Amino acid sequence: MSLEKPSLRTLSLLVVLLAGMLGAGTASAAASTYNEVDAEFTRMMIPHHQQAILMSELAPERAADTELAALADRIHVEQGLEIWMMQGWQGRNGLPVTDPEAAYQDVLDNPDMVERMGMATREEMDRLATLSGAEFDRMFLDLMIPHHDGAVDMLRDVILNGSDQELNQMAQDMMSTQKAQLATMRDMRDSV
Amino acid sequence: MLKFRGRRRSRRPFALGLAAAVTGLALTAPTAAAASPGDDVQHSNNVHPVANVPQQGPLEGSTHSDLAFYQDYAIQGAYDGFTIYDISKPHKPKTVTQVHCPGGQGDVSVSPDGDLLFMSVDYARTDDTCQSESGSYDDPNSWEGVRVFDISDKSNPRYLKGVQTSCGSHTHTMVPDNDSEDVLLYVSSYNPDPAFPNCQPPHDSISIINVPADSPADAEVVAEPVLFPDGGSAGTAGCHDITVFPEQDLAGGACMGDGALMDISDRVDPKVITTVSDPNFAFYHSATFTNDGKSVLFTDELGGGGAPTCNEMVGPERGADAIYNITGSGDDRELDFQSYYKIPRHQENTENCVAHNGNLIPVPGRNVYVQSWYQGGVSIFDFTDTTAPHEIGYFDRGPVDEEQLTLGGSWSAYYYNGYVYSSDITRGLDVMKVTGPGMGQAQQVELDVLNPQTQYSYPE
Repeated sequence: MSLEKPSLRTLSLLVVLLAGMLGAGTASAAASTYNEVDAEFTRMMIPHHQQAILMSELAPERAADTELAALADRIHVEQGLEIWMMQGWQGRNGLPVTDPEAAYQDVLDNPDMVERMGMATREEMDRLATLSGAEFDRMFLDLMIPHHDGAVDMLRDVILNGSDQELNQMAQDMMSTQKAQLATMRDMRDSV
Repeated sequence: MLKFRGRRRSRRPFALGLAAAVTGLALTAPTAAAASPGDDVQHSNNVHPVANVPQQGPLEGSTHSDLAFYQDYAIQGAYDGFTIYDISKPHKPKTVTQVHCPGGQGDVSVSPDGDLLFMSVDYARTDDTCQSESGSYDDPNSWEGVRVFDISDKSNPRYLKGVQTSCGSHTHTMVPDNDSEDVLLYVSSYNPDPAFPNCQPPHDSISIINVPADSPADAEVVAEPVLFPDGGSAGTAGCHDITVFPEQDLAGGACMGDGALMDISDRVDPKVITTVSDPNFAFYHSATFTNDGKSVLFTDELGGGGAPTCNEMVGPERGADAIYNITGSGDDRELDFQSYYKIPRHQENTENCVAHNGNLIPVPGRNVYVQSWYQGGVSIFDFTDTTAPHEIGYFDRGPVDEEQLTLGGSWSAYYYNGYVYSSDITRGLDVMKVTGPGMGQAQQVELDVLNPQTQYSYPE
């Protein structure tokens, strides 16, 4: 393709025409806009992350395996940051900002949703808190692996069906991270 | 997407930009006079802001990203195209041209002769043209890859060719061929998934594009070497960025869970010599060698760039740089951890901040690095003692948005022929002068071309 430089005169004519046609917002038209899939994703992923954080907070006092404790610490930091990023995205787009704890309690009250997103039930969370040592490690992994699988499904959905470029990049990075952690956790599950 | 609030500089007229936005034409913009830096800049006494050119024309509102340099020109990538500035007077950069050609993230590099510009596209597009629309990741006909432009006439770039690559091109690295005038591009990309037809697992590879010197429009993928035949560390699937050091036949690969040292003696068949994975590193992002090639600095982009990690909660060892010495020789070389570096100034929780792109300031006998930290600003630090990196200067703006976490700040900051150029995501191009011990000697080093991920040693 060859790009010829238009004359200034042609350009100014074009500008006059386009300015009227397109209005002032056009210069940033390149910045993509969100759709309902994007908005729904952040509403659901925030409480989903909240559960991973609550599970990870149990690890320092209960885990036997030091690598598992280190992984839990990383999940705790990362997903905390990601909640901030998703809340920031909601705020910037004029959407209601999801409260992680309130939304999490709402999800727990909905068993279908818990199942669909690979989350742990209220009872499983309560039981995990009673365990320690190797028993804790095994149950932590047995809950966190499907939890991450659920996240990967949600991330795939927003990458394929969402429309916001910035959220897409966030989702690609989150998906890479969660898949890497899944591989780590599956290895760990064989040895704990 | 990107909101502008508060202490933002005035908008330039974007009338000409409208035309370009719609037609995809390259055009010569009117001279954009450099504005003086705003009053929200804080900087150390040895860092002197000399110019700021706000976003403008068809790229106003577009995320601005990486930089490359050729002679008196700086080229700034953006998610929707690129800008070429004349920097013969660094305190008064002039816009030569802007090209609207959406893709993102717009990682740019130039060929050694300055005639070709390469640009990474990591978002699915409906086709390879500059008129393409946003595409879908489940459509096998979507396009992502590397765009090749002829920029031999800096005021009239021509789009030559789009080369599709597996999983797109998050970044790419210009590698001069060993035995010809051809240019090779190492293309890094990641996040394969069974549901993405153009990005299938395992993707433990990079793509290598050959750009023939006499017919650049015939650029094509010539190899897809598997870097991690055993899968690498858990879940590693692709690379984020690669830095090459051709005179030492070395490359540093920042490949998700792995920091990799590679032998690139055979330019189209890089081999991993050794890898390192750090318990504190979430995502190996980029690499820089020291001038002697004996140490390498890797960055960790915790949160992918959008997260506020420069705070007490995250601490000094995450979202940081990690410095390694290269020990041993030949295929037995290993990476030996020395220290972390992270900026010492805590940032607001509305400011995304994490280790990002930088390069060496060519001060003889020392390791001095200038680096972007998004809204943490630009940090200059000395790691001559690889166990004790310490900051010697900085440039830091206030939050883009004081109420909400918003992507902004310095994407890339590079030293080039006496000045530091910082590509700011929302505020355009910043130019600054660094003074102090060694900076006069650094200024003696004059380059014709700079692609910061293609390292050449400076005289010591």
